[in-house]
Amino acid sequence: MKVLSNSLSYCNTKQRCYSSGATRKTATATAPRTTRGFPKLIENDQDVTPKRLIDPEQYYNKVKDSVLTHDASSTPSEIGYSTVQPQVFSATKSMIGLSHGGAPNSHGTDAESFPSDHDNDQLAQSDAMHGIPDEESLTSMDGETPQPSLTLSETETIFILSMDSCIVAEDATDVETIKQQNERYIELCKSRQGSDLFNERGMNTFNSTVKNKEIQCERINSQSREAYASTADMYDSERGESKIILSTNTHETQTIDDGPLRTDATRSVGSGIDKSHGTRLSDQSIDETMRKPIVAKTTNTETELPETFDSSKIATIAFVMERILNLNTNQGKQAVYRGLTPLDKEEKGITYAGLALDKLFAYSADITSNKNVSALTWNQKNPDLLAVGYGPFEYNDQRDGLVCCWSLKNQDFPERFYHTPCAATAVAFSSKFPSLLAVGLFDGTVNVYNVQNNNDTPLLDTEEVPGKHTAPVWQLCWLGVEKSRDDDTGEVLMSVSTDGRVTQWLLRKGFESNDYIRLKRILSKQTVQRRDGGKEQKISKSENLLYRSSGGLCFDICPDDKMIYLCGTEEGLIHQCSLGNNEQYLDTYSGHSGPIYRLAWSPLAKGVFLSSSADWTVSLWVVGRPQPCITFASRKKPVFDICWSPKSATMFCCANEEAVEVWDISKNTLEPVDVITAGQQQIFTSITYSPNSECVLAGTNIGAVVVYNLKNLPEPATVDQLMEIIKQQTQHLSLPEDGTSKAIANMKPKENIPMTHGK
Amino acid sequence: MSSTVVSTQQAEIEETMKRIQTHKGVHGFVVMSNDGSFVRSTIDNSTTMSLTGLIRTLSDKAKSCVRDLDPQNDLTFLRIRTKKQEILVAPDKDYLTIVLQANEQH
Repeated sequence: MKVLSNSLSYCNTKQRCYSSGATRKTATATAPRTTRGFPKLIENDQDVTPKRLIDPEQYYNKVKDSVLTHDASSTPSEIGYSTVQPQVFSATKSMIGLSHGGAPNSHGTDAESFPSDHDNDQLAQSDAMHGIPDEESLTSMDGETPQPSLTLSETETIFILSMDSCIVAEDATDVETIKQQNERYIELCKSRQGSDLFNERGMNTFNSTVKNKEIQCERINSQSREAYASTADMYDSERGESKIILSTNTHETQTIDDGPLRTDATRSVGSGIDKSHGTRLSDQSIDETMRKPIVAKTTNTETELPETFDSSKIATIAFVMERILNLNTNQGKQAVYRGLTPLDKEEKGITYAGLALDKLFAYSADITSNKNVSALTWNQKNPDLLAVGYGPFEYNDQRDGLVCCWSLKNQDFPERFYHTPCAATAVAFSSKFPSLLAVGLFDGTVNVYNVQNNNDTPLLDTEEVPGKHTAPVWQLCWLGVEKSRDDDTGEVLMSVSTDGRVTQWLLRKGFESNDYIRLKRILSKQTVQRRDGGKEQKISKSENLLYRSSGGLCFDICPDDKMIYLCGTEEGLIHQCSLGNNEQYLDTYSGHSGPIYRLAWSPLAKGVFLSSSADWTVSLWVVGRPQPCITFASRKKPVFDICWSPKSATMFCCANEEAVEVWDISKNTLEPVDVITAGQQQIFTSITYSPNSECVLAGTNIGAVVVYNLKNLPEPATVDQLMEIIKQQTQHLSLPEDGTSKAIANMKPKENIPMTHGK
Repeated sequence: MSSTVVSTQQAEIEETMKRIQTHKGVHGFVVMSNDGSFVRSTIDNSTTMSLTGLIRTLSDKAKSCVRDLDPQNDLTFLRIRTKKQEILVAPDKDYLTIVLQANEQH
C-alpha cells in the first residue's frame, strides 16, 4: 500500500474548515477522503484501522477526466499536490470535493490490497494543481509497476444537504411564520446541550505519515530578460516612435547562473533600422543604469554598402555649429550690442569722455567684398535681421547686385543672399508679411523675395509689368492699406524712381501699379520768384515736354498722418504730397541746392523732418515753413544718408562720404557731437539705427556694414526740447525773412550763408 | 529639379563646413555617423577614433538624461570646456558633429 505524500495532512486541515453561512452538512465529508491508503494501525495484533465510511467506488465514476486547470487560485483548490506547494483557498467557498471525501478509496479494511491503480485515481481526483502537466508520470521509488498516466482534475461538488439561508423582506406575507420558525430554531439550538436528542461526539482523523519522494526532471532552462524603460522610452513607444529595436539575443538557453559568460547586448541603431515598438531589451542583468551603449556595427552594414555622405543631412547641425562658433569668438561684442556687460573685462578700457562711437564688428563676407552698400533696412518682426542691398550708385559702374540678410548671430556670413542682375538700390521689409523683402534695382525693376528660403529667383518682379519704372528705384516702402478687393493683401508697395513717378504697387496675382503722383518740375510762379536768375533759364527749358518730370530720389511717409508724404527730387526740392492727390503738391520746400538723398520725418516730434543732400548739408524743416529751420554742415562731402535716433528727439546720425557723424541738436548745431572718419579706402554710404540696441550701423563702399556702439549716451531729449530749439532758431530766421530765403535759394555752397547761430 | 536643389543645398553646406573649419580658433572638425564611422575629419586618425567613441558615449548619455527629464525635450547641443580647448558637440538624427575650438584668450 502506498502512501502518497502529504495529501493526508492537508486533507485533515481542510476538513475542519467549514464554510460559514451555509448550513451545509458535510458530515460525511469529514471522512478522510483523499487518503489513498491508511496506515495500518495495529494494536495488540489486531488490525484496528478504522473503516472507511464511504464506498469509493460510487464516486469513482464521477471523476472526470478533465484537464487540470492551472488556475487554482479561483477555485478552492484542494489538497494533494504531488509536489510540495502551498494551497490557496478562501474560507467562504465551499469545500469542493470534500463530499466525495475518500471517494476513490476502496472500501473495507483491506487497505493493503489496494490496487495500485486506485491509488493513482485518488491522485487523479485530488484536484487542481499548479502547473503540473497532464501526462506527468511519477516514477515511484520502489520500482513498482509502471503507472498509467494521471489526469488530475477537480470533481464536482456533491451536496449532501444544503439548506440555504434566504432573506425575506419585512413586509412579506409570511413574515410571522418565518419569525416563529427562526425563534423555534434558536430555542432548539439552546436546548441542544442537555437534550437527549443530540449527542456530541468528537472525531479524529489520522495523519498519514510523510514520505519524501525525489523525482528528477529535465533541466529547466531559465532566462533572464530585462527591459529598461526610461521616461523617454515610454514616451516614444506610446507614440509609436521607438527607435531602438530588439537586440540580437544570442543567449537564449543560458540560465541565470551563467553570469560571467554573458556578453554585452548588441544594440543596433543605424540608419536602416525598422521602427518597431517596444522598449530596449538587454541581456544584461546587471544594474540597468550601467548599460553601456556600444558602438556596435549594425547588422545592415554587412548587407548594404555604406551610404555616401549626404551633407544636407547635417544642415541643421552645421547651422547651429556655426552660430555657436561665432558666439564663442564674438561673445563680447554681441553682448555689448545687446546692452549686456561682456563676460571678460576689457583691459583696454578706452574711456570716452562724452558720447562716442565704438566700433563693435562688421558684417562682412567674401561675397560682399567690394560691393557698395546702398540700402539698409531692418526686419519688422525680427529686429536682429538686417537686409542690405549692395550696388553702386553710379551708372557707369554697373555690375551684378546683391542683397543679403544678416543676423546678429553670424557676422561672417549672411543668412540669405540673393544675386540680382543689376545693382540693388533700395530694400524694404514688409510689415504685414515679415518674410517678404522688396528690392529695388538700378534698372527700375522691383523684386519681392521671400526670405524664408535662399532662392535667387524672386517671388514677384516687375519685369513684365507695364507700369515698370524705367529708371533706378531709389526708395521702397510698404504701406498698409485697406483692402479694396478680396484678393488684396492689405499692403501696397510704394516706390520712387528717377523717372519721376511715385508709384503704388499692388500685389495681386502679379504686380499692378498705380501712380501716386508724377513729379513735375515746378513751374509755378512762387518758386520762380524764389529762384535766382540762373534758374529761370532752366525753367524755360523745362517747359519742353521732355524735361517735365523730375527725378525723385527719396520719400518718407509722415508717421502721424499716413496720407501725407514727402518726396525729394533731383533738383533739391522737397514736395509734400498726399496719397490721395495725384495732381498737385501740397507744399514745396526749397532750400537745398543739390539732389536730396534722404528724407526723414522725426519719429518723435510732429511735423519735423530732416533732409540730406549732395550739397553737403543736412537741413531740419518744420512743416509749414518753406525754409529750413536749421542747417547742419560740417564737411565738404555729400551726405548720403541720415537717420533719427529712435529714442532721443534731438539726436540723429548722418553718413557723410568720409565720416559717420552723430549730431545732437541740443548740444551743438554747428558741430557733430562725435565723428568717425572712414579709413582710406572706404566711404560711408548708408546709415541706420539699430531698433533694439544702442548701435548705429553704417554701410561702406567696400561691402562691410560696420556696427558702432554709442557709448555714454546722454539722457534722451524730449520733443519739447527739440521744439524749443527750433523755435529759438526760427526766431533768428523770422526777422530777415525775404533776404534769407533768397539766400537759401542761392546755388552757392551752404557754408557761405550765415544761417544759423550757435546756441 | 529636386536633385539640383539638393545639390545646391549640399554645396551650401559644404561651404558652411569650410567656413567652420576656417573659423577663428578651430582646431578640428569631425562628422561621424551613428554607427561609429566618421565621415569627415580634419584631425589625425587615431585621435578621431578615440574622440568619436568617447564623445558618442557622452552625447548619448546626455541625450537620455535630457529626455528622461522631459520626453518632449531633446538635446540640441553640448559643450565641454576644458583647460586647453572647447569641444562643441552637435548631435543629430543621423550624424554627430564635433568641433574643437581653442579657448579665447583675453
